[in-house]
Amino acid sequence: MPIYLPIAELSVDLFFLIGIGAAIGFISGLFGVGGGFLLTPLLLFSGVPAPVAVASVTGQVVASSTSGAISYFRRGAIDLKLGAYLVGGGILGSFAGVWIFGLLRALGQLDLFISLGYLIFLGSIGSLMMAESVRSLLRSRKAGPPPPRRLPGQHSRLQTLPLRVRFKKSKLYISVLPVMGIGFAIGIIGALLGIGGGFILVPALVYILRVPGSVVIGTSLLHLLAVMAMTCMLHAIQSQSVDILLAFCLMVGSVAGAQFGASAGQHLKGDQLRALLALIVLGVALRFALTLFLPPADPFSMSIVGFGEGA
Amino acid sequence: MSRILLALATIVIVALAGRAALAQGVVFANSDPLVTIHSNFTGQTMTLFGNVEAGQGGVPATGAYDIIVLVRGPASDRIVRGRERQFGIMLNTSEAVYRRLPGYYAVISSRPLETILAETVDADPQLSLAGLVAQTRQGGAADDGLDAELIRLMSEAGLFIESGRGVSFLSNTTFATRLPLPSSVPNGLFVARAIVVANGEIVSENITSFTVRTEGFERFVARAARNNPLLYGLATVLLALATGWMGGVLFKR
Repeated sequence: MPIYLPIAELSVDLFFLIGIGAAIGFISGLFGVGGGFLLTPLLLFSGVPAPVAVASVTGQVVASSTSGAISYFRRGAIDLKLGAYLVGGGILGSFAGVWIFGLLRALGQLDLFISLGYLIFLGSIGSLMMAESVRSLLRSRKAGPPPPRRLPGQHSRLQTLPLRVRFKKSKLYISVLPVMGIGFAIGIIGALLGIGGGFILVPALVYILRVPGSVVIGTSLLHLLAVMAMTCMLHAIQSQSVDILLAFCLMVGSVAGAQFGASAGQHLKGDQLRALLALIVLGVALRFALTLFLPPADPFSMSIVGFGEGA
Repeated sequence: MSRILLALATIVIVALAGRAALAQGVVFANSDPLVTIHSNFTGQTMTLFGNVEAGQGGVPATGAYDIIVLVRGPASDRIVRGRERQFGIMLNTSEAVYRRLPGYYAVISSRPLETILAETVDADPQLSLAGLVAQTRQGGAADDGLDAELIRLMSEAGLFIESGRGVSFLSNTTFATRLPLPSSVPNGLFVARAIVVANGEIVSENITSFTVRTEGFERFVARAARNNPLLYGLATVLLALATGWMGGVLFKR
């Protein structure tokens, strides 16, 4: 059943939208990531103009992460204080990111930078996570006791920083500087690459801050929710390319998917979850590698200037 | 000041009179002066039709003439990019900007243009997609193949139409053509021009126009996004929060 999207100015099949929304929502609820990095290419494939796709997906991410965050909140699996510090850093970071974005565009070859950025970033994070989770999976199979979660060296270095705050839920007593620093870095990356950055935030919380696995995903969803709500507003004001109907169709599918994802996540062990996320991250990295090195099916593309995108 | 206005008014009147004299030879109209887009819009085919007043304005009464229909949709700036492999990676190597390129353009005629028009007339850039594209290209025409790629991409999207056999005669003087509008048709004013050709020369022409626009809820949304972006963004975020919350409540377990 086709539905006409008033901002995108074309019609797309309604069930296709709800279907991809549900699939991405499931992944979002399972891993605490937004899924925008998967959803946007799917929308582009169905003919939605790039600025509209990028802007509308932010609305969808808000909905799916709200749905997921509520479900984690009910289980007490969100560290609100940690989330607030992350969001604070993230908002500063996204302003910085928008500024850098303009700078890079002025230098030219922004496309190349974005593709290379994705590739290097996702490739390294994905392989690190993969290696770590496979090692820990193998260890647990040998029925040994779980390895110590804290690396002594890193922990003590974080403890020497000033402005320490106690995060009760996460059982952490650390400086706010690395917390806000991570938020800031992800804000920059998010604005540059046009993603929420959940798949970077989750490993950062796990490996750098040593946040317990039980609160990582809920807190990441809370962070995503706040940052993406702001990004959605910025898109609506700046480029006016948010298609509320498109976003709504995606939302309906994704909130349902996110619930199933969140409950499925409860049945998976932490290291299994990390291995699966690593697989997805590596998959996306591979996709960018392919677009970088393989000639596309159609080497020529056309876009309307002045519709969310500068000349 | 008033003298200038008077002069301007005279020019306009003379121009209109000239146009009317030229338009006398052909009547041109369309089936849907307002194409409304509803939520289930998947494109529409509209009919353009007309009648040639034979014997007027140089039109032979014998019916030995041809019709060209030009349809121009609202314009926007478009950019075409070509990618190529350099140093092992794919780079944007070429691009061209087209200023005020019609978002919809159709050249439909009763017989192929080259057989019905004298060479001098055929050179008019309005009469072919290639000419139109070359004309709107910024920085002048260039021979890098991007013009052809633009035409190909636009034609694949159903936004450029070129047909040498698209106008049919219902009688000696009555003609009609069907115009497919895809679902991605740009919203705005469309102007269609019917040109009567006899002995290789344009002898008469007339225009008809129609509007494509969203209606009802879709129109409300499109206007809100442009006129009240702050409220619109807020509404989107609130809708997202509400939907997410609803999902959380409905699927509570």
